[in-house]
Amino acid sequence: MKSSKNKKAVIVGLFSIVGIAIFLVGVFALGGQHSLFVTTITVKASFTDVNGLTAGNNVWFEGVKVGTVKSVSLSGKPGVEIQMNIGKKSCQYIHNDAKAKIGSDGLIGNRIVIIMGGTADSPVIKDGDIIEAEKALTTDDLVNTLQKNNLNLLDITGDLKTISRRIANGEGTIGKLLKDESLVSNLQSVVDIVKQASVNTRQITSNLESYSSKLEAKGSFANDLVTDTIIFSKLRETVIHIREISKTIAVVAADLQTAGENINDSSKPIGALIHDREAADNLKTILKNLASGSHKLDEDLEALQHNFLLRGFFRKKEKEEAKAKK
Amino acid sequence: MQDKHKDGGMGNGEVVISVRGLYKSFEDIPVLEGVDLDVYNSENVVVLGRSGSGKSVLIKIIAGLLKPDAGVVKVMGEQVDKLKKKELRQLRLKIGFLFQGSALYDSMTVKENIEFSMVRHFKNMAASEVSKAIAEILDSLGLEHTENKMPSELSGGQKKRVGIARTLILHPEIMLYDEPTGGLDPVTSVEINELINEVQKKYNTTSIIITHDLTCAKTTGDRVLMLHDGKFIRQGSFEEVFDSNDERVKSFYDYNFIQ
Amino acid sequence: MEPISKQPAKYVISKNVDSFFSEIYAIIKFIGLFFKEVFTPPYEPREVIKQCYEIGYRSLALISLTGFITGLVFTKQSRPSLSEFGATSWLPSLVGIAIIRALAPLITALICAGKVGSNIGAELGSMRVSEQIEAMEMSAADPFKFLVVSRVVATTIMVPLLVMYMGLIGLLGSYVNVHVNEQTSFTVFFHDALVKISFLDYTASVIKAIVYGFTIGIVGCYKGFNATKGTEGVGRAANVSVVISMFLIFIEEIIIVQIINWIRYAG
Repeated sequence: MKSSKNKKAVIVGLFSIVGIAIFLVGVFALGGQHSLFVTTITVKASFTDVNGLTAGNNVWFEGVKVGTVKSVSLSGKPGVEIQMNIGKKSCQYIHNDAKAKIGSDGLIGNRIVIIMGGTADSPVIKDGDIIEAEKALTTDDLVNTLQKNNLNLLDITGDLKTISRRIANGEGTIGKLLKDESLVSNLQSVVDIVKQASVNTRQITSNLESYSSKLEAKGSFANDLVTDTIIFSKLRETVIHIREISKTIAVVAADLQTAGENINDSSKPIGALIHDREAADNLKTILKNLASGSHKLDEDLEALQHNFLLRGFFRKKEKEEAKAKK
Repeated sequence: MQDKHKDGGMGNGEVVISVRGLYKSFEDIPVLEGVDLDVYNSENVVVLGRSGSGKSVLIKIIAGLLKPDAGVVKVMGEQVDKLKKKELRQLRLKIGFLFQGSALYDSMTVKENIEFSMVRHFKNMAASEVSKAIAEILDSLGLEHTENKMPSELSGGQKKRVGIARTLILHPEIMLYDEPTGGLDPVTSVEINELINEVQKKYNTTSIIITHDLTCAKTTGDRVLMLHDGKFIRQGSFEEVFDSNDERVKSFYDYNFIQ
Repeated sequence: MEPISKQPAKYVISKNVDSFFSEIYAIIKFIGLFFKEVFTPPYEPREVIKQCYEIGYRSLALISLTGFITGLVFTKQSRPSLSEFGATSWLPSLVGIAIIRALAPLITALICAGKVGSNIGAELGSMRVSEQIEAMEMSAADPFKFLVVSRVVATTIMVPLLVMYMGLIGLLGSYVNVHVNEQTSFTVFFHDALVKISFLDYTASVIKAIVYGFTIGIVGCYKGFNATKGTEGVGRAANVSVVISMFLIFIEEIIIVQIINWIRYAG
């Protein structure tokens, strides 16, 4: 009886010690990885935007983890001040003219702080040093550029509106209107802006496309797990829209250019230009294309189409022509 | 404290257990309705009654396992339901209780069952002494070679004996038997009845025996009380109790000795 | 003679509501008694060890098997979606988070609730209905201390230890799968598995395990200790112990995870 009692005690003791050992190994393994038992120094950096960086994120130097983010706080000055704990052992390799930027450790991974550069001549960082921050291109920046493009497109429609208004108001004769140097140059600048916008947009689109296609493994668990699906689907939609807009813009740009060249072309009589159905149709398609471009554009363009000004103007022209022939 | 009641029966010593006006009900169903009882030193009192008549409840209240709704229960001069935990524990050391199904601890061997309370109360006792005492009591109860058996390996009669051994090892002054012959065959029942008498003689205990077995009542009881509808309706010697035309008593007798 | 004091059938609200609240009171009293008794001598070290053996060591095989299969299957099932994404290298990290943060404590607790909880409920229940608990009281020992305290202490200590085993073996199961498919080395696997685990996660899991262990013990003991109505009551005690402790474990899981998240994001 006694021996069986003792056996149980021994087994329980062994069982417990192994369990506790597993626990301790876990603690030390974690401790090793989270540099809990490593002495660190604190370094600061100020960013205008930290893109969701939080305390506990890793700090990398030349691709090696050297520490973690200790705190992220709004400093009031420009943007956000972060404090990083950097392992003492790694400090000797980081010089105080190094720069910090926000990145991520994978395509859709955690935010990290990347420290890079630094020249060997400068002293190494010390506790309390401030590292200069470098702005990184972020998704937000991409979206901002896109917004600018949209504004540009708005300007274009604005210009077209002005043109049509002038026509409608009959500012001067048609000849004057068409001779108007400023109009021509306006048109030219429109073309330029559109071209620029188109190039920009295409670039962004391809950026976004590659960005999203990597995400796009449909229904993939990781994808759903790691990214917010709503944001993702929005992003995809945006890409499609932008692609459309970009195509439209390209067409518009080409059309406008032809129109502009025609006007500029002194060899062609102005009358011929105006009577040129092709040119008129061109103008119409321009408007149509622009209309299908984006929702914002749509609103303006619809207003433009609905007042029939241009059509009315062309019809009048035709009638006049008919009279003149008689 | 110890008010002497010498009204008939076999009473010829001190009152060990005194019950006055005891009421107890479970969820509004009354079980005991005004029970008075005096048990004198070293007598065997048998409480007869039908199943569910509250016999077991009575001795559980005496043992302090249940609290009375009303009434005074004194055991060796102490009011049981007013005692503190420690005092109650002290008192219980003097009370042996044989439960209906013996209530041996399933997970322990016979020896562990018996030593369970010993090792908790005689902490200074050497292990060899404990073993000796256990072997002695097992021998005296005819339970040799069962020390290391589990309760599930024992027969009903053996279980009762171990149950008795478990209480006797503490040398109780009072023994409470709850259906000592319940679930046993007649031959074993006779053995247990003899054992109860033996214990009373050997250890000079005061006993209350709860039963509905008239043979048991007849052989073990110095005094018999009949519990019906929560009250004692008759008391006296076995013959006195059943020398009656009371239907409630007769039906009981008829059933037991029908042949 | 005292006047007859038959209990009047008056309830504060109604019979059922009253009994519900008196049960709550009884449970609180039971828990309070546990904390009082656990710190007051005499102690029952031998019984605690015996219960540790029954609860901890005897569950180890089941826990190990379940842990290994959990780790293996979880990894296997997660691979296709991660590989579609070209991120199978994330498997260890994913499994690490899943097992250490959630699965190890929860699955261990549920298994223990089923195995140990029902066992305690049935054992104490049968001791109650066969009057063994009263017999213990009559032998002037403290059945609460001997039966309840020892078991609750044992579950509170053993469940966290079992969680440790489950965590390690679960990760090993996952490692087997990852190693076969990606040829990841042992060191890299465990490094990756722990890389996303913070001390808070680790502590939280241990706290969870302690709370679950206590819950399993106290529920089983309460239900068993207060079993009534014969053998039917024993089955009921065992069954109800499992149901209630599982239910409570899920509730506690939610609460603890919520609290941990507050701490995580407040800091």
